[in-house]
Order: sequence, then C-alpha cells, then structure tokens
Amino acid sequence: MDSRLMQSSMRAELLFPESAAAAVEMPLADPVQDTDLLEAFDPGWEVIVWNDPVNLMSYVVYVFRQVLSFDTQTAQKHMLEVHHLGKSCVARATREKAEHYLQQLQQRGLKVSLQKSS
Amino acid sequence: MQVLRRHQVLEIVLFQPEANLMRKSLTEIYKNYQIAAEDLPEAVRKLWYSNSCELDAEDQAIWLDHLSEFRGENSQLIERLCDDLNGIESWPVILTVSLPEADRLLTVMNDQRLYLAAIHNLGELEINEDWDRVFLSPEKHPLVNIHFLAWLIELIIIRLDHPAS
Repeated sequence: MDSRLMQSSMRAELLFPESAAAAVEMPLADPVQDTDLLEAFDPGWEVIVWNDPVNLMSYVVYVFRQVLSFDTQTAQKHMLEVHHLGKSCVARATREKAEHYLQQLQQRGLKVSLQKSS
Repeated sequence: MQVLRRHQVLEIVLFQPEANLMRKSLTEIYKNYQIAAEDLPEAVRKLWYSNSCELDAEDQAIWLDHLSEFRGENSQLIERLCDDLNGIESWPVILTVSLPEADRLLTVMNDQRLYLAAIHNLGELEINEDWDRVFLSPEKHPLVNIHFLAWLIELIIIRLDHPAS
C-alpha cells in the first residue's frame, strides 16, 4: 500500500475513532497528494532507447528479450527502429515500472531515457 | 575460437592469441570496475554511471550503490575467469561459464567495448572501417579488441539462443 494512503487512513482513525469513524465521511485528500497519486499510477511513462554506434545489434536484441521479455521478432523490430530512426519507445508504464526498465537497460550499457507521453 | 553449449554450461574455447586478448580485456575492465565513478574519465563515467532520470541526491546515491553492487558481482566472475586464464600451459584453454554467468559476461564485454570506444574516441566510422584498413589505423589495438569482443559476444548469444546449432 502506498505510504501516503496509509498515513491518510491512519489520520482518519485517530480523528474519528470506532463508530464515529464509520459515520463520518473521510476527508478528501490533499489536492497535492492527489496529483502525486495520479502520477504514481499513470501508465503514460515511455522508455526510450537511443541509437549508439558501439552496441551490437544482436546484443541490443538480446537485452530487449532479457529485460523486456520481448519475443525475438518484437525485439528485432525495436532494435531496427533504434538503428534507422535513432530511437524507439520500448515500453509504456507507470513511472516506477518505467524507471525499473530504464535501470535494467542502462546497467547493460544501452542509452535510455524516460519521457511522459503526450 | 569456439563456444560450445553443454546443457546449462557454455564452454569458451580460446587459442593462445585469443586467450591473451581476453585476459587483457578482462584485466582492464576489472581495474576500471574498481575505480569510483567520480575518478573515472568523464566519457566513461557518463557511459557507465549516468542516469537520465532527474534524481535527487538520495536517489542518485542509491543508483550508484546499485551499479557498484552490480559491477562488484561482475568483478567476481572476471576474477575467476582471469584465474582460469593465468598459468595456462597447454592450448586451447576452455573457460566454463554457467548460463547466468554468460549473461553477465556479455555485459562485461559490452562495457569493455563501450569503454574502449569512449577512451579512444572511436565512433561509427572507425568501428565500421574495412578490416584491412583497421590494421593501418593508429587505433588498431583498441579496434581489434573491440572487434574481438564483438565476435565473442555474437558467438555466445548464438549459443544461448540455439543450444544445438
């Protein structure tokens, strides 16, 4: 559970103990926290892999398969996009998941960035 | 050079010149893995330790720790392979790696290719140069090393993908 949700829930219990808590509507969350939550669950983060002249095509395909669980055909399609177009969006996910992919790809030597999909 | 697969193990068969190149590459990358990120040449630091996310200081420290740990585990594999390559008296030498180790070895060799290209300022033009012109290049040593590692990476990937071929 998100720690902010848990804190909000705990605050409600302290303010409205036992039966009173059931009868009283939970206060709305802070709008700033709402924005954070929306962003945390927003699946619109794109993982972009960029072309570079050193990484082998076969290695890039191999890494895509290992990290992103692509089949060979999909991995090759994205590798060719990187090669010919300079970049490819290899995943759209929540920020946390996208950062995980980014780190896995970066530690294997690929050039990667994150961007918010428009 | 050959790469064979026996069940869950790869055997990398190297003759003397190949083994020498491999030892040289592994020794060099091992040394570089031990250097703190801030002490590496800028070009290498960018390649190995940059993070394109906008991280605050705490997350940046976590990221660097993670990479150090990852490369530390790679270093253990390199040490073992260097031990196997030292003191060889008969050829060819056979390096044995498990499949998870083969996966790590690919990253290690790729890191070394990236390192050599960065340090010697080698780009697409130089790397894709005709083979006969590579030997005329003032950068022939790193280029030969880069191509040797590429060859071995390709062989390992083929054997991981097609155990019986």
